[in-house]
Amino acid sequence: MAPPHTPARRAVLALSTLVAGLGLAVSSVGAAAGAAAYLYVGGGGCSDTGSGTAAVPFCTIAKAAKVAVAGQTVLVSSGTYTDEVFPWHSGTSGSPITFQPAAGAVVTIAGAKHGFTISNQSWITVSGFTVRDTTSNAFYVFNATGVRLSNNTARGSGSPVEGATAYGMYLNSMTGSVVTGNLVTDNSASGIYLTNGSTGNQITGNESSWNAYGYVRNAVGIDLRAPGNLVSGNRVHDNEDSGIQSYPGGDRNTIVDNVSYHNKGFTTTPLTNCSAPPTGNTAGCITGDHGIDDFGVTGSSVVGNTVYDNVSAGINLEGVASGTPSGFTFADNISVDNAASCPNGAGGTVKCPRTRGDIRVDATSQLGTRLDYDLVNLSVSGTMMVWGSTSYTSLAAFQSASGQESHGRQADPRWTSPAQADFSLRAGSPAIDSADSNAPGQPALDAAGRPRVDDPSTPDSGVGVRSYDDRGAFEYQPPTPSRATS
Amino acid sequence: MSASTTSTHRWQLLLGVALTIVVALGSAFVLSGATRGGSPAAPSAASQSAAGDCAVIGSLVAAATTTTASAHGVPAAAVRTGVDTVLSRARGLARTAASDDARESVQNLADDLAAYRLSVARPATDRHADIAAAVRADLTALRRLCGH
Repeated sequence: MAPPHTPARRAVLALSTLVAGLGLAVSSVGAAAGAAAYLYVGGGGCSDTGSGTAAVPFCTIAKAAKVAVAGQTVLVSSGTYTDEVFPWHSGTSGSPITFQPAAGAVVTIAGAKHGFTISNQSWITVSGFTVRDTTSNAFYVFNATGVRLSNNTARGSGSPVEGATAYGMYLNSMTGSVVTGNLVTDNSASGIYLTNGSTGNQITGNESSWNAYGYVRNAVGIDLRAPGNLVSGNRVHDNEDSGIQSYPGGDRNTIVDNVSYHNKGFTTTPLTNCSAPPTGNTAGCITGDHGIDDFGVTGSSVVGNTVYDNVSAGINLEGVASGTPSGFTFADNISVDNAASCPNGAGGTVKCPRTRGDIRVDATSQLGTRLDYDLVNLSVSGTMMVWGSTSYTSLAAFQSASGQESHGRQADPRWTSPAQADFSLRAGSPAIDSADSNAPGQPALDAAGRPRVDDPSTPDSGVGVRSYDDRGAFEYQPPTPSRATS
Repeated sequence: MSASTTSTHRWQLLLGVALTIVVALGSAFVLSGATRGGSPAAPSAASQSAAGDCAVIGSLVAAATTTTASAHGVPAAAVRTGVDTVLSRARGLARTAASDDARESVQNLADDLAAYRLSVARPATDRHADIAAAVRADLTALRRLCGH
């Protein structure tokens, strides 16, 4: 006969069971804290019902994303994957969750809706993937901080059909994050799009090119609808609209050391907002727009950029509310041959419609705008500068009338090979050792990550903490510099 | 004590143990999730359909279409007032929509409406035409999102 179950005995039994259960809980927590450093994806013997070990890897990146926790790195074997990856957990600032190809592996995600969706999770790193032919944005981030997207390719997202277009990287409410070294190309909307309070981010060293809606001229290389970001050292070219664009919401951004060129094209596909050339082939539309475009935004710095051969005004500021100081600084830029000719197929040397000038500031945006230490030039006669409603064919005329650009220069920048998109400076360039190193946002390294160096063959005419910074995105590297930043 | 009473006590004990285990496992699950710093039980909102947002999206699209289509010949200040109303609704919905797709599409509309609001002061310019085209594309995308 079993002993009687007194209340006291029942309490002891229940307590012991509870302790055992809590022990199980603690054991589970311990496993999470001591999770393996790596999860593996792809290769022979894979199973999504396993635990993602090297011996039995997961078959899908999505499965790894579901279970990966702070501090874990997901290593993916070579192959083309079709799953959409969205992490279920956040990393921490000291222990992010990292997704990357295994050593030497080439990993493509193709045909999914998104490649990576980072939604409501933070401290996630995605590095080294090619995401192509997604039906929506290749990379989608929402409400996240501490994200790092590096050295990925985002190509061919969406379709150039109204209602089916998609961005390369759509960054919504993303803060304190880094987007660097990515190739974002041939997408059916803008390449990199920041919106809805995305702030404190660094968008650096990316290439964004050949992005086009196809039915409306609207795709930009880097599109800023959010404030307070650093946009530095990017190459933006051959986009359907401007290279870099700041639109309402995109205030107080720092746009430095970028190269924006040949955002300019001609398509025989009718565009909703078609600009046909004034002469020549009118059975098509001109694409492209500004190198750097700022519309209705304030408080930004556009410093040390190289801007060349865009179809409209190279660096453009317009639409600031009348009577409101723009708070814009344009300095140390090189802007050459913008709005100087129509694209091939649309009239050759005929000038295209829309705005003109290497630098243009419209009538409502002059107040509180400062321009100095820029270098401009046109290889054909035309409009060099626009200030308010007046166009100037020379920098001297602009300087005299506006009082701006007292240290500006009009000269051939002596680039190595602009036709090959090599905008490094050759010896004797008037851009050498002549910049304002105190211009807001002027970095100590150039767009290629090289130091500022003092060319002993060029007298220093620059100002600021260093008198030898060069104008434009690239610092001339003399054989034997006399001084250099570290 | 009768045999039936003893049996009842055994069942009560087993039931108690079972309940305790359930509670303990639940605790383990919650604690485990807490340490992972995320929302372990909830799949990403990416998996949610936009269908639940479509009623309010339809209303927004109708308002935006009316506001932007009737801008021709209307004083800029009046257009801005109309756009402000729609823009406010769009920004709100861009924050509260349940699905990522809806949030993105409505956010795009909000962004372009903000630019449109500025451009109405210069209706004859390429800039206004470009932005108006972008708004129309946003509205089309929203209609397609909701199967219209």
